[in-house]
Formats: sequence, C-alpha cells, structure tokens
Amino acid sequence: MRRLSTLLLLASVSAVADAEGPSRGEILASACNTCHGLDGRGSPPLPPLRGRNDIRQQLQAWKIAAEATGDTHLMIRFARALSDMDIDDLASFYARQDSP
Amino acid sequence: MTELLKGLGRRQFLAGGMLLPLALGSLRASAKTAPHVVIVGGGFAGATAARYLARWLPDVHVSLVLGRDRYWTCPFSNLAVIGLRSLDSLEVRRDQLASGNITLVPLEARDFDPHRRTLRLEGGRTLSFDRLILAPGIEVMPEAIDGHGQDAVDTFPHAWQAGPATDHLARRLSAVPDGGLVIISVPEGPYRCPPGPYERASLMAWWLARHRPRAKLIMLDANASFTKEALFKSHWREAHPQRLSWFGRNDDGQLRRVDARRGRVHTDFEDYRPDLACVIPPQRAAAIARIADLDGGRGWCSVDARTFASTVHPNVHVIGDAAIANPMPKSAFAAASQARICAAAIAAEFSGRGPPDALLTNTCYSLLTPEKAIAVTGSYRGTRHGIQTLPGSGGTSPLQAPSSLRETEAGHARGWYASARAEAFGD
Repeated sequence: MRRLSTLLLLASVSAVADAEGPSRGEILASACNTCHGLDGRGSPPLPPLRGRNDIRQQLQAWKIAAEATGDTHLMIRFARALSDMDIDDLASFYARQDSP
Repeated sequence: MTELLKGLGRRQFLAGGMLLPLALGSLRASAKTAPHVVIVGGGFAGATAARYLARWLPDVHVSLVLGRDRYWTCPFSNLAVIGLRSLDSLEVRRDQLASGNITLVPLEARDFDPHRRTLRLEGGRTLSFDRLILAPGIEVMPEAIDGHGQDAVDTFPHAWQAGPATDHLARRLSAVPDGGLVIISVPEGPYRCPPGPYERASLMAWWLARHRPRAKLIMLDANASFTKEALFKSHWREAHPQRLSWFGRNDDGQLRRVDARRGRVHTDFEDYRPDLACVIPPQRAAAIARIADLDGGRGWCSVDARTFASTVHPNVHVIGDAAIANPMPKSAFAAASQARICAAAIAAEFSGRGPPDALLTNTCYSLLTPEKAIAVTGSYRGTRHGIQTLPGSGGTSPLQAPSSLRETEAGHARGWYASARAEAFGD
C-alpha cells in the first residue's frame, strides 16, 4: 500500500511538473504585498507598486539615500538589503503588471 | 484503495461554512493529479500559506483546519484595550478563504502521525496529507507562575490572544480609579509580539493621562532589555515621567508569585497591590506543534529556514509563532513572510523545481500614542545554516525625529494592517 501511495504521489508530482510557477521576481514581490496590498495594489497611505516603471529608480534612490541621509525612512532600511539582481527582478515583475 | 483515498473517503469537507459530504468520484479524480496540503491554523500564517499555495500550485488541494473558535487579530488589539477600536473591527470572517482549491474545516485538530501522514480531527475523522503545515500559534502558560493558573486569568488578564479577553481587559482598565496602580508583567522571551507589552504600556499610559491623571503604571519585566528600548524609554521620559516606571530583571522586575485571591503580585523584594495587573504568561507553541517530538521538548519547533520544513519530520512544516525562526520575531508580519516562503517551497517541490530564494522580511510597528508610531524592520535570508540577517538591512526608527515622522509611521502601520489582513484573509 505504501508503494502504491508513493507511486500516486510521484504521479501527482509529474502531473504538475511542467507548471512554470512563479518567477523569482513574483516571489520577491510577494514580500512587498504585506504592506503594499495584495498584488501590489496599494493600501493607503502605502502606494501601489504594480504597473509602475520607476521601481528600479526608486529602490536605487533609497539605497543612495541610506548613504546620504541615514535611515529616516523605513523603505531605506529594506532597500539596503536588496542586491542589484533583486531590484532588477522586482522592477521587471511590477512593470509587467497592469496598473491598479 | 490507497492510504490517501482512505483518508479522503472518511472525511467531510466544509466549504463556505457549509458541511458538504464530498462525492468519492471527485476525490479519485483530484487525488491522481493534485497534492493535498493540510494546514492547521487560520491566523496570519496559515491563511497566507493557503492563499499563496492556491496561487502558486494551481492543482493543489488545501484543507485549512480552522478550529471552532472565532478569530480576532492580535495586531491593533492594544487600541481596543484603551477603547479606541471595537472588538468587532478586529474580527476576521474567514468564510471567504474557501475557494475552488481551498476547503475550510472548522474542526479542532487533535494530533497527527508524520509517518502515516494523517491528521486526526475531533470526532475521530482523519485527513491524509502529502504535506502538513502547522501554523497553530501559541499556548499561554499561566500555571508556570507561582500562584497563577487558568482560573485566575480573569483576575490577572493578559489578552495575549485577542478576543473577548481583550474587551475584559478594556473593562478592567476603565475600572481603575484615579490614583490607582496598573501593572504589566512581561515574561521571559521568546513570546508572541516582542514589542507588544511596551506598546500596551505606552497606550495605557496615554489613556491614564487623559482619564486617570493621578494613576501610575509599573512594568515588571523578566527581561534585562527589550526591542526598540531606547525609543520607548525616550518617549516615556518625555510623555510620562511621573506615570510610567519600568523595572527589568536586574532591577527586581521579575514576577515571582501572584496571589489570585487578593489580586496581588510579588517580586523578590516588593509586594504590589495593583488595581489591575496585566500578567502576560510565559508561552510555548500550541499543543498540536508539540506532538511527535516536533519541538524536541523545547516548546518551539526547529525548522529548515529555506522551506520551513520541520527538522524532525520533513513532511511537516511549521510557520509563524510556533516555529524557531530567530532572529525573526514572533510577529504577524514575520508569520506571513514565512508562510509565503513555505508555500513557494512546497509549490516548487511538487512542480519539480528547486527551492525558492527565501527572502524573509519583518516590520514591527508599535504605537506610542494612537497617532504616533515607531518601527523596527529586518530583512533575512533562509539558508541551510538558519535565518541570517542581510548585511546592512534592518534597524529602527531614528531616536531623534520630528513628530511628523512618528505620525507618518502610524499611517504606515494602519496601511500595513489593512494590507496584511487583505492579503491573508481577503477581508
């Protein structure tokens, strides 16, 4: 019975194995949803992110601001943790979404 | 019939709050293609995991075991303690979590067998699972305090799990006379919501200043230091210099004993006679997360930080307050973050992909007044060596800041709360 169960499990895995799944950018972006609304739709006063083309520029600006002015803004403290690849993936993901 | 189908055949599903005996024919069809993930706990962690699993693994079937209790959010419940939010506004109605591949099970989970991969529910029903996610939250242990116990919780209300207890604490606060004494005692960590006691003290002091200006508030803390300490203490010195006193474990701050009959609390050197003593008990993972040695006898569950799979039973994942996720705090924000990474990891595994890049985040907002807040943030990565804080990330609100920044952060806190609720519960 255990073997049959294992086979069934393998079958279930292979049945969905070609699913593309979420991109790295989508999984990273889900971290933003907690504050910026599901799918980045915004949650006033926290702005929407989806459909925007300025995410890369804004996140890079936060990183530069961290060096210039310290960490007065909460987003500066998050932006400092992001690599250039993280920022590129986030920016590409949001730019592909429709505006809310 | 396979183990999985036997389990499915015995159970009954509840969808949208309605009891629906499921036809076996549809079970056979779904079982051949769809992994079955059972989630225990419908708070921020469990609900968020269910919704992202449904999104990222479209063929999944999720059974979300909610238990029988109604659910109120702990975040923002300190505002209800001082009468500025209603308990109703904190209640989450979870019916809308039911969807094509999420089934709600409003029954209590009793125990599970990690080898047979079955979860036993009240009444003896069982659910078979491919993966089990435990997100049951905490259990409070008043009996760990000398003289205390569950029957004395109304005398020393903690309301550390929001609900009717929150209203009870609010009524007790409003009954404190002018010139009276309020005590908040803080257990040794780890406990749910590390800044919560200090936010509560700040808001209670704010309320006392307006309604009982001669009353005092004393914090008795089993810890020697605490999160955002400099920010809280700076605010207390400025706003409540004669009203609020904090005593840490090195200053006779450790609660040693309570006398429930007389409503008194005792430290090594002081006997207090408060009008209200809010005694926050020591805590551990809820009972279901301590079965099958999942907690290793430590009270909290060790996990692989990349997937939140238990290090004891890899088919069982633990997220939220029940997990050991240091340096992440036990917060709703952290719980949702862990839920997304856990969901992404399970989706990746069943889709034949490698584990996701486990970027984890946290922000704990704390209200100093109803209109002013401070925050601590952290960014982390789940690695084979545990959860590591990302270099250069994180930190607190600045110590010296204009009032406008504190007001801005209170606005951010409200925005986060609305957003996190919508993300987790669709409510």
